[in-house]
Amino acid sequence: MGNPAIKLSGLTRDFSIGLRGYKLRALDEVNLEIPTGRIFGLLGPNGSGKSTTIKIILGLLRPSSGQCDILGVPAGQREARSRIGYLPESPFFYQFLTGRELVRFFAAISGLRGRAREQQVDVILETVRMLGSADRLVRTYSKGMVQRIGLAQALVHNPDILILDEPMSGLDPIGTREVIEILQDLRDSGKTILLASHLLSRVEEICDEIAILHKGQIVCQGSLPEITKASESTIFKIPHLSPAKEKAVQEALRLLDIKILEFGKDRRRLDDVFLTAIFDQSNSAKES
Amino acid sequence: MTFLRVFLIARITFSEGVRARFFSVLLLISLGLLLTATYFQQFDFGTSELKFILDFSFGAVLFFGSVLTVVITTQIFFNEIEHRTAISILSRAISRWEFLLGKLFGIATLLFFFCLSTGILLSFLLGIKASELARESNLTENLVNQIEIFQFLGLQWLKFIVLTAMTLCIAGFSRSSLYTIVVTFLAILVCQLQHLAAEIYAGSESMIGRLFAWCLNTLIPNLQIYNIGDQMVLSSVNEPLPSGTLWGICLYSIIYAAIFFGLAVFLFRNREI
Repeated sequence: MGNPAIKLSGLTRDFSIGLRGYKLRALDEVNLEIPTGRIFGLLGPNGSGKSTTIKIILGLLRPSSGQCDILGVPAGQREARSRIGYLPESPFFYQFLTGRELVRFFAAISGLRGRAREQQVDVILETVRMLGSADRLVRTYSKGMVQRIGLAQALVHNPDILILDEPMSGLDPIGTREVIEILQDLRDSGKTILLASHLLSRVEEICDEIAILHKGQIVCQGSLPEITKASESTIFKIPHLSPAKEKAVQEALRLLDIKILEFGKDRRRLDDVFLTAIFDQSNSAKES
Repeated sequence: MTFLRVFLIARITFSEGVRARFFSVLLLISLGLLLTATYFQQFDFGTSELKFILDFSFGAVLFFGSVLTVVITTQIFFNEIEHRTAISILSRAISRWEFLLGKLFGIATLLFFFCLSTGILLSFLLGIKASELARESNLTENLVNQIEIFQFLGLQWLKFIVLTAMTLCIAGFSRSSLYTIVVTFLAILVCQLQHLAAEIYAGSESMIGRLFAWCLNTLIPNLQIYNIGDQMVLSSVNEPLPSGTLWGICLYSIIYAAIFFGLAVFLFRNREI
């Protein structure tokens, strides 16, 4: 068994506040192992310690005590950092560059050269579905496009681990859907993805495992099926039930002394309605 | 590899700086002031008029150059932090000192462009004025030394690099751009006036006074040493500078720029970004 992608052992981080150096504990003895090839969700309310954890993993902050290893290498070392790609929350890139120039810049400072760099830039732009808009200035991009070009800069040096801070924040359902699909493709290609997000429904949709941070401590951790395991209730989903049959089912359950907690028509999620409407409209425009 | 990373950061810093509205505005104001300086005709004799134009032009370049240096360095530094581009860059295999050195070189290139632009215009305008005055006064000697205009502006460029390193040093621990700008201007004021205090204490009879003067001279750069424009450019009417002065100032600038840059790296090393 190889090294976990990210391993936090007894990680503690204190911040000194004010002139008297009052200590604020942002992380308190955090232990966490993130296996390779998974999408891992790091959840928690504001101020729970998510950003501090990410900064320590990126080597931008040193822990007060404890250890953080990236694929077996201590965080902060050049080798560890070269294996991580990072997309900050609400990124704001150099506005005077085109998307291609921006990705090329990040490829160059990551050590890619010449023809290999150009090929990699094209591959990554294709991966994030930005090849068609790559020669436009970043300042003309929509929020979703900025997020995708941000993903491209994080991926251009082919890192093993991708760290994304609120990658879907501020995106419309189409942008969110695109980012989710890209992340799923990346996971399938063997990348490890650490995702910090508040959008729990989206996290639930794409994460394999999650950990919940609260006041600097891990309060819940495990695979998604484990954590969201079924309650004692049972759900039946039945297609096209006529009113008469509905009554008959209710009657039958009552005869069996089974208590019905909830009964009604299944509703579509608003996201699904929105996406279907947009895609139907786009398809009909194409056909005409 | 390090050189290339520093070069790439310097190049993007220069591209960002040259597109900044503040840079264009200050460059245009400086060039505009140089142009208007030639229309001042208060003095009757050639050298006096030239001296006025020279003082006025150098004053404009030095004042706006210093303002530009402090503000553009602060702006670029805090833009990187606030827009999180610094995190995107520093989360890669790049050292913080490489990042800061790239910023320093990028801004130095921008300031070189500023000095060169103003130098070309000033040299052109002074050349015309000097030849007019020489013709009117039937003088055959060259009233203005063109090459030394550029040498002088080269020295000012070095001064601006010291100021850039000083600004980066203050930005290294500062939390806001306004604080950085205010503190840096105060520091510049102290550097401009340190020679007065040093002179007073140097003549002191007490050991402590002389030690204080030595500390002032050593710890705080003396920005007055760059004010040698008249002596350099109007060499025909002033005593020439002692040999080696220019190289001495160059070395002085490099040493202080290196010290401030080292401090900036030290302060930025553990800064949370």
